[in-house]
Amino acid sequence: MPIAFRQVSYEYSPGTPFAYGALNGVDVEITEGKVTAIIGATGSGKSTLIQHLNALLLPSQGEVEVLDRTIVAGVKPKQLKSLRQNVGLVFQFPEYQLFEETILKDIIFGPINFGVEPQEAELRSLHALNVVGLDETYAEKSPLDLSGGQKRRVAIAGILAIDPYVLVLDEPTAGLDPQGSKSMMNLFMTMNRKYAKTVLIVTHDMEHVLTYCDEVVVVDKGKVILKSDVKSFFKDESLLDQLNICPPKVVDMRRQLQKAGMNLSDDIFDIETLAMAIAKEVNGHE
Amino acid sequence: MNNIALGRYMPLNSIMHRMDPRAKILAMLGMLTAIFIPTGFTGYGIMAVIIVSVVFMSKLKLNFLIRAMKPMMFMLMFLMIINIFVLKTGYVVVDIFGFKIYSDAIFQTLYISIRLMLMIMITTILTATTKPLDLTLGIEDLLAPFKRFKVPAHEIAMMISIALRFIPTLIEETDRIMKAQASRGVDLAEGKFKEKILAILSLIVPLFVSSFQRAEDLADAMEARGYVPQARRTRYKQLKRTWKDNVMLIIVLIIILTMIALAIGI
Amino acid sequence: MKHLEIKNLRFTYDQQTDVVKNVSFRVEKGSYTSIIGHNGSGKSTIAKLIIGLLEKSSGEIIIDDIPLNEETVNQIRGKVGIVFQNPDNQFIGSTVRDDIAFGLENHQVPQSEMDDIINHFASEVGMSDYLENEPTRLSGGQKQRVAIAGVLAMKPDILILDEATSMLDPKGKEEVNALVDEIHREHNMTIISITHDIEEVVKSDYVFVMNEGEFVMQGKPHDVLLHANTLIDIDLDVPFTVKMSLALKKHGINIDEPMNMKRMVDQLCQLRLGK
Repeated sequence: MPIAFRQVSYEYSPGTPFAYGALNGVDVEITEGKVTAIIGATGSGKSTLIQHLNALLLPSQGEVEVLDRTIVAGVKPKQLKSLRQNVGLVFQFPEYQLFEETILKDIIFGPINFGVEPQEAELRSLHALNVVGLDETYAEKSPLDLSGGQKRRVAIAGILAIDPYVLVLDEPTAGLDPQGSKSMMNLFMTMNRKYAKTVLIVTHDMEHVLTYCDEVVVVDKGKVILKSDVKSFFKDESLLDQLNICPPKVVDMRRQLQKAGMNLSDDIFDIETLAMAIAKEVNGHE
Repeated sequence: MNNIALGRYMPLNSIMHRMDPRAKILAMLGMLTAIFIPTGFTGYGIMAVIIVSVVFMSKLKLNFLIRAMKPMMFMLMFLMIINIFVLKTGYVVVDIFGFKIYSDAIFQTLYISIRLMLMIMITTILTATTKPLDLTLGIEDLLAPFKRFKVPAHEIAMMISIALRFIPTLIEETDRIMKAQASRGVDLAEGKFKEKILAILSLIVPLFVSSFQRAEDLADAMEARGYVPQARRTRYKQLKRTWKDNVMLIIVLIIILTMIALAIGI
Repeated sequence: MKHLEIKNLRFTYDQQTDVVKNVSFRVEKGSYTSIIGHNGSGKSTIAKLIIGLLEKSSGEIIIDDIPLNEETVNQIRGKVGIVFQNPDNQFIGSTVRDDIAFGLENHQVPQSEMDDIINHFASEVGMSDYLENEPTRLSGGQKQRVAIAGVLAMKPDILILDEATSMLDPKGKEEVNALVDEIHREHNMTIISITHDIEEVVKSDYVFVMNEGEFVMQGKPHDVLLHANTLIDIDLDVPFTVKMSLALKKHGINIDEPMNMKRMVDQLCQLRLGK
């Protein structure tokens, strides 16, 4: 089931002196079943783009196809709820959306809104709690008793319990410490590899893109200028320079060594492989 | 939000805009006092002419002022209806199938309506020609003499200016929370009463929680930068009074005296 | 010469758990010190204790030979400037100009001198063109730069950055880090940077590594950051170059300067040619 944008434009505050064209003719098809990174400078339109996926924003022009629905500019879509249920959108710093008395009640909020039976909703919620790495003892606690990182996991569980086909996350690791970041990204990989969800992650972190993502979509000034698999993307040096993107350190080092004369394959993307290749070059000259 | 006319500042450049906020506040209070002096329609006629000329001097559009009075219209209609049924004095103005409408009912309503309209026009001119922060500074300076009576003029002004600074931020945050909860299936249009309550809670509780956190962080930042409540502070923004402001105040005084004279029957 | 000294600092919220347990350290004047640790390790609490926003349970905090207590707290706040994590929640003024003025008002700077000071520090942080801007029209990095200007305007001797970049995008992080480096160089300002970003730590003179309320390691970045296993155990990351040099060690290659990528590259090339 595809996710596609066709000539999509979006203008904030149309017809006022504050009118601002955030998207200018976006054309892209997101590959199903993969983890796709959405990257681009702040202000490039990434946030606006993802809000079209669950119809929080409707296109001013063009059409957005998400799963079994197509939203056409100018045509008010009926019944947005199914779309909201199938595409789970998690905003930046989602810990701020918690409001219920207990954690379980907060996680259940989503599924209940979408008409899931209370018993089923509770089962799903407890499962989601586990998936994000918190055990049942947290269910009756107040969300306010948790640390920032834990709150964030509860907020994400709240979306997972809705069981969407597609998971969209806007900078999910912002403000987390290294360990927190790692477990968060691993969670999303699990959602993709184990639960077969299509995952889209808006991120600035190239190391994360390399380690956890399959494909990358580059947004610039309201347009999608590139879609590629991650490895090809990072192999293209001139492209990265043009986009002013710092490559992951392992790629950067590989390049620097190559420029200094070392014979290394372009297909090196992790430390162990690089170390082995370097060793061959260095030790092999004995 | 952009359609609310009452209380809104209009960024234009007129004589009134350039007047000192303190003088404007005092002038407004003076004019409100004048309105309450019982002078009948003659007095109101004079006041209306004066106020309309001030409106022109502030480069405000009459349209804008009329919109400011819209919220009141409904109430005035209601008042008119009540008065028609209650006040049965004066001469009969019109007779509809035996139901008599008396002159006093109409004139009373008109009297009150005009008074209200003049009041709204005056206060609207004040808020439309004075930036909220300047208004706050004006209030702070005017309240300053009352510090000896324990009125915390400066703290009140500081609270108002910080609140003003955060209004746009809070509006953005509300928008974010609404979108986040919409993504969880919140739909304020549909649903039973209980669901709607929960939906509203899902918007209000996060806003409150984050506002408390904000307040705490802000207090820390203020203290860290040397803020001590009640301690002496200098002030960066200064208000400057000119001869024009004095002239305005004298004119207001003259108006009040004129109204008193009219009321007494000179 | 010691600028800041902490002795046996202890802080507990509820008499049960110690958020800060018996921490002692010194910071030399003009130095750039980093305190790193996972979220919840107590590092931000130390910052708040130094400025007296939290009251220590026991121990001593001494700045320029002045012990921190109820009487001296305002004096200390005049010497120590702090920039917090959330760019929005420390922006008090309605415009950049008003925000920088806030600290000056508190310190009773005469009104006639304020404009010059504001313009000077706005220029130093590169925000001269934004003086009339409201905070909602600024990026996170810009807001933090304004915060720094506001703090500098009060002429502190010590600048504490309490995770000042953790909520910023890469561009904002770069802006702020570059500015802090410049301030450190130009003013010889004592800098204490509290962070969990290991790459930021590399340029500091001295590092304290915190875990669960106490210092578990300290020393020059070069020494501390090589203890990869310890760092990973306490939920911190290890710099890429260190990971790389450890991987190369397994193949019998010993890197001289495992904190510097360029030197590593140079050395590897030399090794390759040398053989």
